[in-house]
Amino acid sequence: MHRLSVLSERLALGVLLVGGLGMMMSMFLGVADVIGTQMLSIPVPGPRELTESTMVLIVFGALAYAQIRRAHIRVELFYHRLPPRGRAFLDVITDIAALIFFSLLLWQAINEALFSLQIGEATFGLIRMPLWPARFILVAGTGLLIFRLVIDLIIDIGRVRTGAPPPDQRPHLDLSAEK
Amino acid sequence: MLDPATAGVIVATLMVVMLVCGVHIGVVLGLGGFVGILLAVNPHAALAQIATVPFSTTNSFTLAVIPLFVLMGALATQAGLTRDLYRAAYAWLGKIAGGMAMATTLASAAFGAASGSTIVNAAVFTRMAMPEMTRFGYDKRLSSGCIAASGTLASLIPPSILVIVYAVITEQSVAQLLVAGLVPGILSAAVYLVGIYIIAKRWPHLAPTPELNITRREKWNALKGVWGIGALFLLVLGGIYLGFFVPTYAGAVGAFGAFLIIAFKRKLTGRTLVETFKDAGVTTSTIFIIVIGGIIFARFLTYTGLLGDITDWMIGLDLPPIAYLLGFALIYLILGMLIDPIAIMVMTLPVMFPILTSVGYDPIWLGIIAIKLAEISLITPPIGLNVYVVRSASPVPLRLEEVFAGVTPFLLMDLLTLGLLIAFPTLVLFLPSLM
Repeated sequence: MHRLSVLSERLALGVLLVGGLGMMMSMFLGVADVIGTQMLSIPVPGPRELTESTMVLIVFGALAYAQIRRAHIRVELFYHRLPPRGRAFLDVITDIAALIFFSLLLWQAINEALFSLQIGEATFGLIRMPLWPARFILVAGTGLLIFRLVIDLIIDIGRVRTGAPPPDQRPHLDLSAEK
Repeated sequence: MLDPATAGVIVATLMVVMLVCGVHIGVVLGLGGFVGILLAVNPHAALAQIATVPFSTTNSFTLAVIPLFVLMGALATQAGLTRDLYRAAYAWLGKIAGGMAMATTLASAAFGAASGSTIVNAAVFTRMAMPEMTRFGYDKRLSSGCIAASGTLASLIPPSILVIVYAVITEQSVAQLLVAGLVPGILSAAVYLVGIYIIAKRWPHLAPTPELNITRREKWNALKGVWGIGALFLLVLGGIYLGFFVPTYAGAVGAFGAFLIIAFKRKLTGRTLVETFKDAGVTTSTIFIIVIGGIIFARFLTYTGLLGDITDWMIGLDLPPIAYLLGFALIYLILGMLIDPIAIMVMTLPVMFPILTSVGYDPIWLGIIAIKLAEISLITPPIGLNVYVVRSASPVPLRLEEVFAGVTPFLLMDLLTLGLLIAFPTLVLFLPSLM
């Protein structure tokens, strides 16, 4: 169990960092397009299409890591007034609700991705960039989140009995530069 | 299939239960919308939303503005800009009555120009300004209240993530809304500054003026650390205003500028980048999950005709426009006790926007008012999210009541600002009308 948890954390961080590099890439692409198109009249090919696909990587790449940090936004007013075992019980409900939603999402996303690959879906415009890679990124990111949610569910069910605090729960904001 | 009203009641009950249990807000909205369409239309239509919305929301050039501005804020935080801004504001204002609190307000407003998040702002400034003000003998209530309130400035001063979320959900111009936030943001900060001055003059023991000698040279030196962010702000906002680039590219330019500032300060290390990516990735992801869930929920309201029914009913009451506005203000205050402003906007706008625009309010003006309301709700007793953030981030021991006592004068100042914005819509609409 512990090894699976560590594995999911490493994977999640890895995907997040790739998404971070993607963010930097869209940043450079945007600046290049502004300078190229507006100032030098040399259009940079496909910056918008690339940025769009990168967005999927950024959002769905960080999804599992946000779950590990337990950073997804929720109402904590009642949660914090409960004893540890009560909190663990609400965490179990939260995990199950998230599992239902994201499993539906994964199921549909797989269908969409396979269909996209089959018909060779691509963007319109001068550059016909294939869309299926981004769709598979969405599938992979959601899959990783579900993997992590299952681990969290098992941990949280254990916590209902023991009343232990959630593992690797960090403060809501990790602003390391200011410490 | 159930009629829309019955489905609506079931969905509302389900969502309240999930919210109370602490289920993630994006999941609450998404599942609520899914179950609603399932009950009122058919399973096929419900699954179609889950299939299309997540991809179409993320695979979007317009929405790419969010991660880019988030990246800009994360880079600015890592560059230590908050400290530089605080130091500069302090060097110039330190000798005035209430100067330290003013410096906090001003630095917070200026940092708001780089970051779009109220809660990050409040947390960062608590760790930095709270010990300083306490050291100089400031009353804890005044200093903590000032920090909690000043954190809210970030959401009006462009670039603001909240403004972008509003623009996306209501399909308004991101560029016009970003520009529209400037004057109200500056006005809010100015009202705070005047208010702090009056408090410090009237009750000097709350805010003693420190015995300091700041030379002119030191004052100018302090500006060295902050001119970069000032120039970047002008470039980003000026570029949007003049139509030189679209907001997404303004985000790219802003992030690139912050990247250059980090590099220039020799703080560009692998570790800094990893922390930046973690920070920006997690923030972006949590925002988008709420937006995705919110759009699925909004589809339920429109597809089933429920939204039309609610709107017709409310407009049928034939109240004066201000009554509708006050009604939603009350809802915002209640929601502000529970959830953060992005979620408040995503949950209320699908209903609030059509009603308030059809009774005659301007969509751009309404955006700024809605954001101001959401921010006020963050510092309103008995439960204001920002107040909790300040208390939990504070290195100086604080009681919740102390922060609420301190934030109350700022709340009154905010109501004054809000009154001005409602009485004189030109304050909001003048700049975007020139675009």
